[in-house]
Amino acid sequence: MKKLEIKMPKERNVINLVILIVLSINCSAQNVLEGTYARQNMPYDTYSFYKFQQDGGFEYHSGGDLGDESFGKGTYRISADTLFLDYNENTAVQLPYHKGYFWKDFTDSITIEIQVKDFEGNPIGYTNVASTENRIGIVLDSEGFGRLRLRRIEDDYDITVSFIGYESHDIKIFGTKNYRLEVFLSDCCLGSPIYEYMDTLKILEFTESHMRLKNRNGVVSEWVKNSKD
Amino acid sequence: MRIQRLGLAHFVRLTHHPPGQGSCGDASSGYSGTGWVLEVSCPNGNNSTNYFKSTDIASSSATEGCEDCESGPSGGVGVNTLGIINSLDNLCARLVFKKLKTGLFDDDPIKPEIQVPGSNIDLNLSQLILQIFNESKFINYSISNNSEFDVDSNGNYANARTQGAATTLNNEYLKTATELSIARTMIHELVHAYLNLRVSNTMIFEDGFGFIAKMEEFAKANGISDLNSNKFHHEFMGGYVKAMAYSLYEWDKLYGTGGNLGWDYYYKMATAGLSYKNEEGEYVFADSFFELFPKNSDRDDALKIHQNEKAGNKDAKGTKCD
Repeated sequence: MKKLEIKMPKERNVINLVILIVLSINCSAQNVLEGTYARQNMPYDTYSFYKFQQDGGFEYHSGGDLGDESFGKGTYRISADTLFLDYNENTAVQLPYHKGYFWKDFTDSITIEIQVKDFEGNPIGYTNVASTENRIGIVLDSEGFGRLRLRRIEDDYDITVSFIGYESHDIKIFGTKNYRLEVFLSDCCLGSPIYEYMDTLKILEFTESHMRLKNRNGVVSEWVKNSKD
Repeated sequence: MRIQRLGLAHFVRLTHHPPGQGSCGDASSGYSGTGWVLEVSCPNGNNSTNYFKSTDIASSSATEGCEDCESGPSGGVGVNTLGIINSLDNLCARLVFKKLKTGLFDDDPIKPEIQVPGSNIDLNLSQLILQIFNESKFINYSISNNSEFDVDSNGNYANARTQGAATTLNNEYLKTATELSIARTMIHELVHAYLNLRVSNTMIFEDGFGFIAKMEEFAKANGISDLNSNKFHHEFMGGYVKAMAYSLYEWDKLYGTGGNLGWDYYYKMATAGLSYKNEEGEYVFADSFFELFPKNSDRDDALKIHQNEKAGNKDAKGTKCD
């Protein structure tokens, strides 16, 4: 009798172990995504896709013919019927910036001496420096240097520094002061990064080659795995 | 709110802007040089005149005082003569672009609408844009292809992308599309590059500030805050559809099917890609697309044409490129 009592739990343990193994195999198959899933039924010339990696990483891109409008990277996990996308990889884009000096004199004009470079310190020749509102501006020289002379006013000038292929940079200039500025422009068109954000998508359907997801706003979308992956 | 359009282009006329006009004291620029005038006739009577120079300003101090006006348009700068860089390694696409560029300086009797009086230069919109880059001493337009964004085997990808003045065509697209579709995409992308140039390099255009003011007015009327956004580009581009269609027709007449597809076909082709991401993060067709085709049936027909030519299927009228 005692032997039987001891044996029963052992058999249960074995059965439980088998169930656990089977379950874990199933779960891992459903919890791991790999490959590129592109959203379907997009308007012509636009895209949205996720690239999932086996190690739990993912990246997201969405945009049109001007490049990515949004993008992000991070880690994903699947729990029950929900896909959690944790945008935890820093993809924040560095903004263009300027540094420099200002001083005051008492003449009826002010001068803005300006040098424009990229983030690697290379001059950006022929950059546009303009106050659109006042319809005044210059094109810098081949070394990205120039002087803009403006009428002295008791107000501000909004100056935009721009060149095709770079993010433009706006600078507020006091109309009574002279400036010597160094401006650094970043590459353009990188899109808006998604960072420090957790997205949750309900999985309505999932197969080896296809996903149907519902976002927080209730929008349902179809995603198909790239057959080349 | 529906789009308040500044006026859809009816026709495009180019006239020569002789040297010396557009004087030094002109508020819109401190430049005196040779250039061209692009007149756009609009159905609502708000005709616009856009000036652009055939060479760029190269002075570092051409400003309100016009100190350096005398130095003119080519005052002693390092000259980069690359202009247009065709780096397409897909032979068919390379030829399509080459043909788009061909005729840049040719007179052609089939282009009466855009005849340039008193000159040997005859341009259509895409050629006009290419000429701006071609003649620029410091801004290059480049076109290439890659597989960087081949993300879908079902055609859900961008055919091309233009960042600044650099266009990249998608290899996946080149595998299936017709030459006509590729020429259409190239024209569309050239307009993006042109709008980017207008926003970023205002000062190289004779009417730079005036044009920016129009762009801002349009953006404001349509609740758009960013002139560099897909939304702005594709809403504003609605006004260029006829000129784009004309460019496509010319290309097709000379190098494609012979130009016998009918104006409606070219017009519908030219409306491809007018879409943007809305505030909810969903991609939708631009209002400009609805304005150009108020009828459902016309929109559906246009979308079918876009897809047929992109897929190069049996209903496509162009010749498959690959």
